[in-house]
Amino acid sequence: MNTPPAEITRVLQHASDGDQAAADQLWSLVYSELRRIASRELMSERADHTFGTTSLVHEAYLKMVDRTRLDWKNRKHFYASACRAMRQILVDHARRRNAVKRQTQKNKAPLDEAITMSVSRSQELVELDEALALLLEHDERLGQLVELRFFGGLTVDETADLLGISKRTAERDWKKARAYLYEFMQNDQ
Amino acid sequence: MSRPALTRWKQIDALFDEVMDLSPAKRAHRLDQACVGDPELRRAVERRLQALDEVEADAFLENREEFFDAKLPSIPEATAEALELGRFRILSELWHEPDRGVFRAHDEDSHREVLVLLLQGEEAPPLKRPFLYDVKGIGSVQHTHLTVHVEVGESQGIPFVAVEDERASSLAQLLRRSRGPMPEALPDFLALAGAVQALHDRGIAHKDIRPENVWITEKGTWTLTGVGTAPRLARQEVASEVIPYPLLGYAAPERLRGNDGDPRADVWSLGALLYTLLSGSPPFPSPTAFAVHAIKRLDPPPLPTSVPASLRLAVERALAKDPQHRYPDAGALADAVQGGKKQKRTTRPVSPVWLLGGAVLVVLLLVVLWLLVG
Repeated sequence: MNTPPAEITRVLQHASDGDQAAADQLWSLVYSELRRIASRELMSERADHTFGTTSLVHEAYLKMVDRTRLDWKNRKHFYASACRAMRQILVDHARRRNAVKRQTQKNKAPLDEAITMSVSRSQELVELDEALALLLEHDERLGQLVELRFFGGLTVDETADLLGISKRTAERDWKKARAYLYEFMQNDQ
Repeated sequence: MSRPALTRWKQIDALFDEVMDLSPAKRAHRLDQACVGDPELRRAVERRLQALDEVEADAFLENREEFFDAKLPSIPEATAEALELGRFRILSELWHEPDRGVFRAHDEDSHREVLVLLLQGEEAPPLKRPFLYDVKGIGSVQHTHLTVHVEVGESQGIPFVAVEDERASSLAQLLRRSRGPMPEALPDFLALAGAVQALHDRGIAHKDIRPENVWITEKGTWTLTGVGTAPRLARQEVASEVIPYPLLGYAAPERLRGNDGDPRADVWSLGALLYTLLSGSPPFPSPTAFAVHAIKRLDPPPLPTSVPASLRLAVERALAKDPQHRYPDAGALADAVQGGKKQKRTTRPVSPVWLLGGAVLVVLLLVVLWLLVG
């Protein structure tokens, strides 16, 4: 993808002004850029099959955004889109790992213990994603909070600022959201 | 997995929300009341309460690395790290204002952490030159109570200033904690006024003296930073009287009218700071359009009578609406605060730089007149 920074800045601006279509377009631009970079990283056949998230976000950010014109209001929208895109990419990656695991078991090949461990976490990540989809359906703010805090790694303060809620509410919502997800995931087993 | 219908979900959710912060006994009591004839509702809420307890005990989702097999930087960290300004590698954002961000950064030369302020946003490009001019001016003056500028520059079109990070807290934090007058801080205030006078001696106005820009080092020394060098107000902000919040309360009336301000605008800001220290709250506290109106036209509430008369008079003169009625610079204000011990300094001559500026203006006027007549 080669969307010029000026175009991204325009979309960011519209998204910041509350244009839902622009927010959707932004997410799709960020996602496709992150996915393109992620698949190139994975193609390079790293032994651990992980990718450097820092470089991933760096590259996407550098390519997409005119940094001299990015203010906090715009950046909040970039963060929100990037967190959702990260969730998608990490979960896709976990699904692929699970598929590899199933294939390996079918062929009765011995499993390396380290790989087994990471695969079991991959399974948990996929379950979390499913529970999160359900939470988003019922309570969008709680779901978004999980995307920002867990997949985006935002602090309580950053999350509160981005969602326009108090720090105290952000902390309480985080507890609440985790209780929901935990319950969903327990019930699914 | 049992997935309750939406109406049922809302019922469970509302009750769970109501009881989640209560003690176990109070939770049980409230559930007894709310779930009469609906044992399933009670079971559903109790399941979620149990989940809440387990989540806390297990620190569920608190450790992201466990899931991702690797250190996963946060999106804001990764975004901030994408910025490299010359020898400074941005580590994380500390705070932001409408047209600028302040970041923690690593100095590749000295291998130390510094603070970097950079301009950004839609308004940034036209601000670039005045910003660099202002911070270079402030950075050229060395004083114990001024932060040390490591570098002022521009990288990839982004103007920035890097300063040594000596802050343990700020005056803004100290004021929030004290919640009352702080007359004991007068010596620190005078030290600060000394730093501002060092700028005024060179014909430089700081233009953004406010509690957030007064850092307090670990040793308790007050240091005025040039990091927050004030944004220039856009024409529409002046016309609409919607002034960016950080500026309000400590910016002189002429600044709110869109003027750039000279040392006398700093005298006003120092006067407002002194007022805050003596009374426990700023002279114009409300961050609204009304405050803009008040700063331009109204007097602040009188200082408590417990404040010595000489200090009250000093604050009153520093906060005069008309810059001509104020002390000419920070040193003159400091002298008045010290009780007129060095009264003669209040009539100190105007700094040579300002005198030179005035002389140049007169010559220019004469040339224009001569051209017109000729």
